[in-house]
Amino acid sequence: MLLQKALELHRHEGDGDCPVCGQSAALDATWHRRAEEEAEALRTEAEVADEAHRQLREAEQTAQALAQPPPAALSKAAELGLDASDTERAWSTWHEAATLAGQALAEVLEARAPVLEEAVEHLREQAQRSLKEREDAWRPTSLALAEWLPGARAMLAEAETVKHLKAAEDWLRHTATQIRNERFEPIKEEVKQIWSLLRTNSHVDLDDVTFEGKTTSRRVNLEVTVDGTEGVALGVMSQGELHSLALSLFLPRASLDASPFRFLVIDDPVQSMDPARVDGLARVLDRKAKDRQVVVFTHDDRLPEAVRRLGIAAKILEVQRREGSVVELREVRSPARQYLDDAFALVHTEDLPKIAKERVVPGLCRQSLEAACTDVVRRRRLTRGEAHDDVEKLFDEHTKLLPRLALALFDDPDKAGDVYASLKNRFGPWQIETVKLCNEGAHKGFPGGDPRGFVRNVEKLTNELGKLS
Amino acid sequence: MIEVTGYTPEDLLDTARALISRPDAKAKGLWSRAAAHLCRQALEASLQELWKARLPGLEKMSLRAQLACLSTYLDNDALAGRIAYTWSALSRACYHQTYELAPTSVELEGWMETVHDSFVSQAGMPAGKHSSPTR
Repeated sequence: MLLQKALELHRHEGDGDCPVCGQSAALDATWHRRAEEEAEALRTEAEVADEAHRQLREAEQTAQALAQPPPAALSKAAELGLDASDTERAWSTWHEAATLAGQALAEVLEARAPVLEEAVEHLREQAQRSLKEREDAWRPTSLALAEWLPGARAMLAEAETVKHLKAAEDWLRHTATQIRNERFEPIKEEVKQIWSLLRTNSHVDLDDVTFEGKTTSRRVNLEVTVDGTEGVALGVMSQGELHSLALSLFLPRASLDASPFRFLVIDDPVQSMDPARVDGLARVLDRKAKDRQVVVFTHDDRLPEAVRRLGIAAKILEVQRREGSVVELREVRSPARQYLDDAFALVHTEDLPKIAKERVVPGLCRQSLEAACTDVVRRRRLTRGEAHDDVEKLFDEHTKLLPRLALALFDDPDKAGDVYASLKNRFGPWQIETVKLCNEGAHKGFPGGDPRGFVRNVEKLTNELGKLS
Repeated sequence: MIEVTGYTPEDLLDTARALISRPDAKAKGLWSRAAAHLCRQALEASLQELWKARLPGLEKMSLRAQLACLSTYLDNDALAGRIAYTWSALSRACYHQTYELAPTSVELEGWMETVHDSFVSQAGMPAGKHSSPTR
């Protein structure tokens, strides 16, 4: 600066002495030239020094900037199962350098950088290992997920359709049930009607018949009440009642207009039925027979008896099986008539052994009279309103001919002693002999004489007995 | 009392057997009841013969009484039981039973076998011992 001021002075004042040290004539052209050169060199040196200072400051700032605090991520390393404590410690120490400058800064950085680097490197390895483990664990799941995803997306897209389909299915099922129940409605009424005819004195009331269930498991609900208390049909009904109920359900269904079969075949419907129920059955079958053929197989005379007594039009065939399954069919009208027909057949058939005629005819004749008595007594008493059971008990108690005749003639089994007198008065004295012959001949055979006349007498008596009211 | 033509119990049983086993249009439908009557009479007649020969007077008793004595007399409870049962079954078939149909050929064969056994048993009894019935 001094030199520059000296040069400016020289330029204004010209040559002269040095104003500082007083040396005479020090400031001249030569000095001026030398001084200018020196000033120039000094200026250049100062600039170089300035530049070096600036670079030093920049380098310091850069170095301080390097000494960053530990990144936030480090504090979360533990959450991922990584041990970052060494790194954190090294990094904190490293960060201390941010407050230093110059030589100290450089030394600290140089000393701590390798430690930090090693810690970070160690942590990175740990992190990479952990990452790989996680990738390995995830891969199969991700593959499965990748497979599942398209389907899931498609399902989401179709969810709406499924809802509609479900609704349609529900509607279909509901409507099918409704249609079934509507179709069953007329049947149901008939079921109840038939049940009311067959139930006789059952305590079980049939309230409703409904269908339940879907697809393969379907069932019929039979709602019944027993003396007013609700119950389950199968649990409370007797065998006979169940048979009747089964018939009540079967008959209307089997005779639907839609059925291509215009006939019914029923095998032994009278099983376990009491006689009163059989009457109901005969009426039900009679009703069915109005518009179709009804064929019934049965093992005893209960249904035919009811049919005859109730005046129902029916053809009754007796099936008999001989040895070797030779089957014989013949039409029968009534047991009384049948016995008589057999007796007539015996006496009229020439080539039957004599012994068979003599020994069998009286027995058959007695059976004819017994049957005639049974029919008239049963008809009379049932018409009078007596219970079937009581009438049957009466027959069980009085199996012989005379008490049965007493029942037929006097309605009193104990008046057997008056039978002959009554026969004589009502039907002629010879009928006493007829009855005696029936009774004794059944054991000992026909004593000779005119068997045809005898059977004809029996026929007359049988017919007369049948007319009694 | 009615005069009765005499047939042996065997005659009666043979006729019953013939009626059953021989298909005969003439006997159509009536053979089973006719056979039952003949069979019952065969049984009753054989008892009559037995008592007349062995214990005269018993034949005049009721059939129930005769059957009750039979067990003691034959010394064969099983056979006596079968005979009593058969007689009662035959009697049912020979009276009009409400609702019952004619006996079947199988039933009749069983009854005839018992009646036959009763003959055999009686035939082998002179010493008062019973012989086992042959079938």
